[in-house]
Amino acid sequence: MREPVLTLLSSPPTEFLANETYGAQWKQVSDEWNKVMTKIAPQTADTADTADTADNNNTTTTHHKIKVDLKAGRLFNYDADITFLDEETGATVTKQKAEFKYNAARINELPQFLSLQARYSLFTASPASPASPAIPTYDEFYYTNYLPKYIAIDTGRNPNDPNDIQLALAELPKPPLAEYINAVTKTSTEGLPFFAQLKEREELLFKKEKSALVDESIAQYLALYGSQIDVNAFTAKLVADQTDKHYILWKNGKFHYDTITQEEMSDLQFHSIKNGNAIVLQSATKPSIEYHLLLRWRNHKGILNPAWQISMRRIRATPVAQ
Amino acid sequence: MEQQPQPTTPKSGRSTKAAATHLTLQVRDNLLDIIMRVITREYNNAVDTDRLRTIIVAETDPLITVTTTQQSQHQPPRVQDIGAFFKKCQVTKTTQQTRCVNLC
Repeated sequence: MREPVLTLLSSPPTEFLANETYGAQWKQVSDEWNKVMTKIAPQTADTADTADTADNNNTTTTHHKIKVDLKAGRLFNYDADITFLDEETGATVTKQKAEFKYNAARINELPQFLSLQARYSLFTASPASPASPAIPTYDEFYYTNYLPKYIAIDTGRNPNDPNDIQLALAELPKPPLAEYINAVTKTSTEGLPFFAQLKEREELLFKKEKSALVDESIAQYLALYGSQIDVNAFTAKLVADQTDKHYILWKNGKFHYDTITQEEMSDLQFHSIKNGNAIVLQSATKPSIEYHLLLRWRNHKGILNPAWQISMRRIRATPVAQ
Repeated sequence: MEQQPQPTTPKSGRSTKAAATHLTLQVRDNLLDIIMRVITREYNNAVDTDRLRTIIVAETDPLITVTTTQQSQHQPPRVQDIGAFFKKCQVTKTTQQTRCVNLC
């Protein structure tokens, strides 16, 4: 809902600004937007001046027209193109990739800035060929080693009610590996009867046991393979996704600006496994920088959409200029 | 208390996007089933159809999602939409926290 609003913020319609109920809010957000835009505006003498003054909370706006084109879906790894146009000629001066976040002022406050499906191989030098990795991806590992155990847990017999007898999950036809891998990354069980049954029974019987088993599968996978993460492949993915990406973050009535620098993406190395569910990478040259790769099921634990939820830590981050 | 205007067009919320994406994916999957059956029959199992399917799925998934999402974004913002910038986030679980920081 908030993203479409961004397309109007550099110059909201007069009737929106004059609206009795929402006019003040439009003005506040618009002023903040034009202020933060100076951080990514083309570096001309004019805008360099406004960027400096913006740090001091001056509300001077940039001397370019700003056009916001929203991008979405998995084809794009950012939210919008922000184009700066020459005010007189309308010609494009520069275009920037932007990512918008709500309720955070810095990238290191985000619970994730990047998400990779579990089928994305982090353990081979060639993520372009996920079909034959040297180390199984987590979804394949789970299918082979833990899905049979998960199914076996739910016998359909309610331990608290001898009269409550349902179909044992083991009686369901298990899909072949290729079919399972294709389906497990979806976000809905519609049209997937095997997954729909697992979801229906998720909380009905043996919920704690199932949850513990899934936790064990993640811990076991990371214990076996976590330290073998291909740091170069991860860094390459990070650099490809984050270079020249500008984060515009809204928190406490203000827009804030942040970006991941090249220095913060270099010299990464394996550091540790944390809490049995995350790989921690650390910068060798700047140990205050850490990346946490949390492996978790995003839609129904043990059933759908296992993924790496990736966050960043700046251990001694400097406070944001307010 | 101010009366909220009633929407006259379908909302472009997550459920609409998800439904459109789901339908398109279903059509794609059904079509793939047919194509794979034909390939298996015509080429007498000489083609690794599982691998072929995986590749086609990976290539087409992003296209399908972006198409449906872009369609839904054609709805212009309404004056009251600015209120979303002043909503409080109730952060209780990681999933909710993740949703909370995504502006869309």
